[in-house]
Amino acid sequence: MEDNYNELLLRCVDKDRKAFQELYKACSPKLYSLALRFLKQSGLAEEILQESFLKIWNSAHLYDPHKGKAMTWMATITRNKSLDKLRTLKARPQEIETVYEGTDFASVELEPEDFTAIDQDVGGLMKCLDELQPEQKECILLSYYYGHTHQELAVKLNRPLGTIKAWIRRGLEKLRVCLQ
Amino acid sequence: MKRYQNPDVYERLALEYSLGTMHGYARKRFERLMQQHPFLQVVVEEYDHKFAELATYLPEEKPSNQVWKNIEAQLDAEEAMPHQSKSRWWHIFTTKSFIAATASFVLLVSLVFVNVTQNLPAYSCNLAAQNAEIMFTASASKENMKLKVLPAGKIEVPEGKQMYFWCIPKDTTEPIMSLGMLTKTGLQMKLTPKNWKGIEEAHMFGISFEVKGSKVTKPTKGLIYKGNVKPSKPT
Repeated sequence: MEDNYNELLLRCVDKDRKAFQELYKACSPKLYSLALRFLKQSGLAEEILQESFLKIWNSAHLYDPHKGKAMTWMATITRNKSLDKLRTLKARPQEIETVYEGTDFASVELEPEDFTAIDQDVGGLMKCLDELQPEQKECILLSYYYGHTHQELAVKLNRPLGTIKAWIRRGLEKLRVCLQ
Repeated sequence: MKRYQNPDVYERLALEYSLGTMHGYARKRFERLMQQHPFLQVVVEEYDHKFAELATYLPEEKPSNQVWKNIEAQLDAEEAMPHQSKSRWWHIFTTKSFIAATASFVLLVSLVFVNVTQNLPAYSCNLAAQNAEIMFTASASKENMKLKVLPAGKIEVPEGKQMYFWCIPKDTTEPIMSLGMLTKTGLQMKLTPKNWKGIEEAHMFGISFEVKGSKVTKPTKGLIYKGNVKPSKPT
């Protein structure tokens, strides 16, 4: 599957619109899901998805398959655009549509059949995340998937701000050592 | 600034930035630092890439059909009006504010960076086929950690093939390093510290034709264009 994404993205370098459409069809549900977790509203998430795919089309020549997979390259573009958008909004949009919470989807134990299909690098990252204290891992994943600030995490997890900062600081330090 | 050259410090900051746990003023300040220190950008990109894998865990959600229609309309519009959009873009060069900003920027760069960049190493290479004209020029600079490969002649790539760029080490026991793929318009890429080390220890750059989209770790049928790597002035 991933090899197919790489090939489609490489065909976009030659401005192959059919390949781009196939790539959009295959990858947009994951990337939309990523944007939706940050922005909470379908309209804003769709706006980010559209901007991200236009950037993917115009920057396809910068993608290097030797450095990594097409999906991770596209996810980085979508996440950065989502973070930028979040920063331009004065406040996080109200969760008026679907409430996205938690990180159960990122639990290896809950989805073993999915995990077998995932790359070894992800396994390595998840192994490092699993070595953290549960509260450290939760804060880090909530920050990654939802872009929560320390203050937002303190409210969401009902813990003092200082505790949240300490969990994240210690968690990141352990993660850095493990990833090296 | 020296504190940002300590790996214990900059790796932690890059990790915080990548994961999104760095917010507010700290995030803005780090973005400014990244512009001043390209190596910070390289480390952030590596972490960005590593953590982007987490997106594979997300459940899928289908966007509305309107998104694709909007994308298609945008692409059609860009294809239909390339000249108009270009003229609008070039228009900014005529504004007073742009000229003033450029002058300030040039002054700032020359004051701040000229002494720093004078001693940073750079390399260049002219690539040609056997006994033929130069077809590509390549340059790599530590100042901006970038590799630039530009065509110098008309390039013909066989159907179904793509050009791959290689760094051939002086030490023949070391593996050949891939530096990515080239289009007919060349290649511009940011270099990782590992890439830079490979270039410093390179004897030659080379270009091969490989099957499009294939994952190869060395040229499968030899180098079509090649040339010796030489030290040069920063570009």
